[in-house]
Amino acid sequence: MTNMVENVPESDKRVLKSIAPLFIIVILFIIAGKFAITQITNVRGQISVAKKNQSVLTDKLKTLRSVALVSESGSSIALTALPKSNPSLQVISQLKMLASTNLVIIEGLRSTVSDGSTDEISHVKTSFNLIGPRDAVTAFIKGVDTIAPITFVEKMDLVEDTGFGSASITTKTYFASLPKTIPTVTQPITDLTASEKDLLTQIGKLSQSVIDIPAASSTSGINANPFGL
Amino acid sequence: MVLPLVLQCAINKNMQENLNLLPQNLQISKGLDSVLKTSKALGVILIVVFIVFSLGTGAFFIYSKITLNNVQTNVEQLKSQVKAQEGSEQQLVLLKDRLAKISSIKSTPNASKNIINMDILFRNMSPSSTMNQLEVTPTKIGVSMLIRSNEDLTAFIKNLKTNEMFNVVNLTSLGYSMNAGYSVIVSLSNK
Repeated sequence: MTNMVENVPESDKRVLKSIAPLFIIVILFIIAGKFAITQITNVRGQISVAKKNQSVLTDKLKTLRSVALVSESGSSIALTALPKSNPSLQVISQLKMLASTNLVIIEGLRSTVSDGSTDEISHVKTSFNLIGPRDAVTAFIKGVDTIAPITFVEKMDLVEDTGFGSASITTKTYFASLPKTIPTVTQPITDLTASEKDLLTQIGKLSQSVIDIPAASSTSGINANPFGL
Repeated sequence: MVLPLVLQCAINKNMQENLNLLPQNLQISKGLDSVLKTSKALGVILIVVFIVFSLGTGAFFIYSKITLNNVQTNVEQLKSQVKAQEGSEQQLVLLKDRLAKISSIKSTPNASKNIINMDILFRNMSPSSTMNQLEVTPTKIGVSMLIRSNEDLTAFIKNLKTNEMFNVVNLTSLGYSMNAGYSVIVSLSNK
């Protein structure tokens, strides 16, 4: 072996001696460069994600602080307009109040829950007969749109004789289950849009039922079902 | 010291050339020599560049780590602040959910709009003309009327013509008697 090394020409030895460090440095460059780039890319990626979360959380905190009062009163109003459970009692109470206000006779009230729910929205159909002058009946019908929970006239058959009407009316009142979860901490949340604020103003004008419904839970701590009562 | 004559002549002859006292087997060509010198210089430069690169990337990595720690600390503080506002968040989520559903409900067809606007069918008609029967659904209005005079009939037809709510008007029945006047049954729909 020693003889083999001694037999290598001097020029080759010198070439090897000068090329070998270059080769080693290049290898080091590749290894260190790859390692450094991987590590730095990883850290920069983490910084990017953390900054995005920071931005989302800052906006979220700002939004939550600014809408705290509106969301507190608004959620109560919205829950009255669209309750979480069967609102038959509130509707019947509201219809009787409305009939009393418009001086018409209301009778034969019956309420049925419909199974034809869509998008977690269910409805109760309330049927009744209304007796009174046509103008009063019309005023009553117009008043149905102004009561909470949100109620619409589904169908009306009016028979009139000498200005005195007898109407068979079916109304539809909606209710919907509460959302099951809240967004994760880092999930963005947006403020109320102009149309949502407008809608909130509209439902805020609806006449409230004298029958109270319990408000949504707002206790602290993470609940599996945060809106459950 | 006296050099042999032959050696003196050789020295004189090579005075203009490089003196090479290395053994023949240790000699390398000029081209290879310059390549070796260049490679040595390149090696030194590469070592310097490598050291600078290593220090630079190291410094940048440390700076990035510090930045990451700062941002993560800030994120954790913000998370705790957001969690403290959880009650507001629940109410906002609830409010947005309700408003979205109410908006969806309001967009479904209902008879209320038809009932509220049905007055336009009876504009400019005298009280002597009466409505016998009215059936209202989200898509249709059926009216049975007793119209006492030609003027009221003209006004009713005009109201039907000018209404913008229903684009289909069917005259189901039209009768006339000298005593009662016109008996009209009309069906309006927006199909």
